[in-house]
Amino acid sequence: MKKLELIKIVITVLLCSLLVVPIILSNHSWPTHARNYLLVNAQSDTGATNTVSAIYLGYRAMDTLGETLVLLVSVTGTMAILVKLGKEQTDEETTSFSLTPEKRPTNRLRTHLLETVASKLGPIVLLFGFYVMLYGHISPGGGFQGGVIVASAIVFLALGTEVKSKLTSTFVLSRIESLSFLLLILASISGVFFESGFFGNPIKSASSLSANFIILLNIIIGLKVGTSIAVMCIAMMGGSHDH
Amino acid sequence: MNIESLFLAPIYLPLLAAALLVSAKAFGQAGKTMDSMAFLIGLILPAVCLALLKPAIIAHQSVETVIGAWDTNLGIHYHFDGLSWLLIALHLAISIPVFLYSRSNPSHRESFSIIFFIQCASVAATSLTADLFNLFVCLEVMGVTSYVLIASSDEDGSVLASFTYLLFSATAMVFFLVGAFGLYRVTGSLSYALISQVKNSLTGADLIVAQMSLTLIVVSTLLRCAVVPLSGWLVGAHSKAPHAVSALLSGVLIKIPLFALIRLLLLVTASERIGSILAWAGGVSAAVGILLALREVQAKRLLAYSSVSQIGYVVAAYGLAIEVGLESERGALLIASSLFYAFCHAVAKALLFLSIGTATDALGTKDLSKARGATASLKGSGERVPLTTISYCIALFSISALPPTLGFWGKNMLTYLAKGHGSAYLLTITSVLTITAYLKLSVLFLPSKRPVVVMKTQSYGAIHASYLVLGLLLLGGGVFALPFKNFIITLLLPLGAVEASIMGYSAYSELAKTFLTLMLALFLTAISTNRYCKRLLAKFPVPKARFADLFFGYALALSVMAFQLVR
Amino acid sequence: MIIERILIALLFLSGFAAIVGMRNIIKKIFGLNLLNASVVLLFILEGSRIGNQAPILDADITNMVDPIPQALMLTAIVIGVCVSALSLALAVRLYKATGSLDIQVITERLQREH
Repeated sequence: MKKLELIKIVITVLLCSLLVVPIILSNHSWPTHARNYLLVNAQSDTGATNTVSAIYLGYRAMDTLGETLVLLVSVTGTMAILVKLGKEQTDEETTSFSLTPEKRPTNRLRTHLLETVASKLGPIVLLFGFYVMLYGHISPGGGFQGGVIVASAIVFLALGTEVKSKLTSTFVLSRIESLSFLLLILASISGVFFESGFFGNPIKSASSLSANFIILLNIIIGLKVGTSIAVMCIAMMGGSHDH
Repeated sequence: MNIESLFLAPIYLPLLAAALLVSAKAFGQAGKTMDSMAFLIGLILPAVCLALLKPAIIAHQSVETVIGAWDTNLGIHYHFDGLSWLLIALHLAISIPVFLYSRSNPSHRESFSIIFFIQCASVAATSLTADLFNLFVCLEVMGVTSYVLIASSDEDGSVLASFTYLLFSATAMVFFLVGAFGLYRVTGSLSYALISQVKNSLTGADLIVAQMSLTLIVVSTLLRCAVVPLSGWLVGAHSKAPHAVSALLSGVLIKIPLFALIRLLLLVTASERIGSILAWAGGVSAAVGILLALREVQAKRLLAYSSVSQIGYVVAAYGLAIEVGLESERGALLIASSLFYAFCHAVAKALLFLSIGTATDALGTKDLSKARGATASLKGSGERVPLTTISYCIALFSISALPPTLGFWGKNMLTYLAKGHGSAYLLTITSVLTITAYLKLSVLFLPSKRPVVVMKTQSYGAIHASYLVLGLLLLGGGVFALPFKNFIITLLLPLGAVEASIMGYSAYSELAKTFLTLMLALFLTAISTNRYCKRLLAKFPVPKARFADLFFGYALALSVMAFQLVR
Repeated sequence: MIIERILIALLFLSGFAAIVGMRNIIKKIFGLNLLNASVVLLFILEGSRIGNQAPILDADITNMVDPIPQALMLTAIVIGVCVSALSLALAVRLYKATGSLDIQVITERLQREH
């Protein structure tokens, strides 16, 4: 039986490579008219000089909405699966990264070096994360990138601080996450009522800053991504006991 | 309230409902009232919007627009027409009863509702999209919601089923991306219209790249429709999921990608070859599925194999329609009957999963060799009117194509129109075997000699509400079948044909054939209890959902389709 | 020029072979990550051949790379990571339920429980 399975695997890989490799090795010249159009029009259409942000928050914002939904569903699913697991095991707390101070001295992986460095780095990384989030329209960055950096900053703070702060409690973070998701949906629907269509820019002429809608979307997406990934990481570290 | 302002409502209304539920959960306000409000916003309001859009759709109005109203081809194109209307209507017809059913099980309700509404939005978006990468994102959202919903069951087998489905589907989506890469490279655009415009004029090496990319995209989408040989994942996933989720998956999610693909296939010139493969694949799928269903002893696995078999009908008619060409009258009638049968099967299978699920819950076992006396157990656990048994009978009649239900018209029209193609013989044999398989399933409801053991008592209000909606659809559809079918034909006309009508056909002329089928099936059931027959069936090897087998089927499908397109 | 694409194709095929052939479920998830990474590299590499400047508009930019593959791959990376996270959670749950990470052992043990 094992030989048959091996033959099947080899044939499978061979057949798929026969199909995929010609596409990868194709020599057709890469289309340039999208690039040429964006070179001229991206700034006047959307207000952003970062053309990648102009695409995924402007022209193709629907894909970004879908991506946010995938993130929401997978984080919800992962948390549901892990929390169900957590209920079944209450005897592993001595080696988990639980945040309750009484357990911490017995954790050999959580050294004083880790705690000191992490607690000092946390605020700096948080600031950097917000910078990347807010400046996404004129330099490389944006909502998703900034959000992930914010999430790692919150994880640093959770690893490092001695006192439980509001920023690392899953309670507060999940509230911020839900509100930013609601704001994202409301921002996308608002276009319907303002004649620019679904996901159009309703505040295009509202202020002198022409990239205002993109900045708004970047902030909302950044907060959503940051808080949801942070909640997932803190739950994995064992800190969801106060949920 | 014109069409331009309403057509996106089935996408953003369920998203709004999901966002409200997420906020309610985070702020601790989750409860029945929030659930009902979300139900209103997410499912009832889109149904109202569809009803408001009906006059515009009958007048063949359609919307082809770019999301965000950008004045360029870089945006995402969406296309709303009769096909989208019908797909969203199919989805709502199943989702509303499934949501009502899920209210009877309060344990998983919060996260179930959120993910359920996100899935509703993604199904609506898949029916509307006319952009390749947006199709990728919508299919991924549908997929992720399915993985989580399947794994939310309490059984441990569900986690393995979800894991297998996840890896299989995620890999296929990466192949889809490679296909999108190929098409973007040679055509310079991601919207269906521009891709096909450039592709139809390609030659030489570029044409081969484009054909292979199209193969990857089509087969990766077809994986979600579980045609043989891509169906290995379905049995585990649909049998181990919670009952409401099984109903939703079998009813809606295996059909929407198929019809969403038709927008792309109609525009490219090579689609007749794809259609011819699909016509045969559908017939083979129908036959293989029902043969495997016959040897099953677990109730939900039998239903899952039956889903593989019945989707074969839909795919066969669909493939035949594309092969013949949608401009001809026969093509237009075939695609309409494919969608009509998809609707029949969706409602019937949802009702089957819900009623069999409730019955097996009351009995405590899914094993058909031991379980008997479901009606008495249900009565003992609190069901005052034996609505579960009645609903099962209605669904059984529908899926066996017996009058006066919707399935009678659907299946007979489909086999009538498919006459002449080899698949029609396979489909006819499958009809007989389907009745045999479901008679085998019905032994659950035979009276039991053992005393009734009550597993748990629960209120059946929500469950009965869901049965009523689905049952009325099946019976009412049986009475109003011809106008309904003509409605579908009219809505699908803009896809190609100029004029088509099926008013001259009456399924009652097939009554003799139906009677013959029924007699043959009863005869087969009688001889299948014979020991020799059981041994013969047991020799049929059960295909396990091993990764090597799943991907071997995938590679086979890819090579057959690529060979057909490139030669 | 072509060596990069051959290497990406090899990466793709090794990821695919890992998903199909490896018995350890964590290695299958590795394979999925490899597959996603190879496709991301493919898009970005090929899209960068038409220019040599980053796609940030400036006063004197004339020859920037194609920003569309980069925007598409932002979405694809996030989706890939999310699916990976979900699959790892499922793998942990499978391990807790059956005590093994080998897919054949898991299948047998789960079937035995029924």
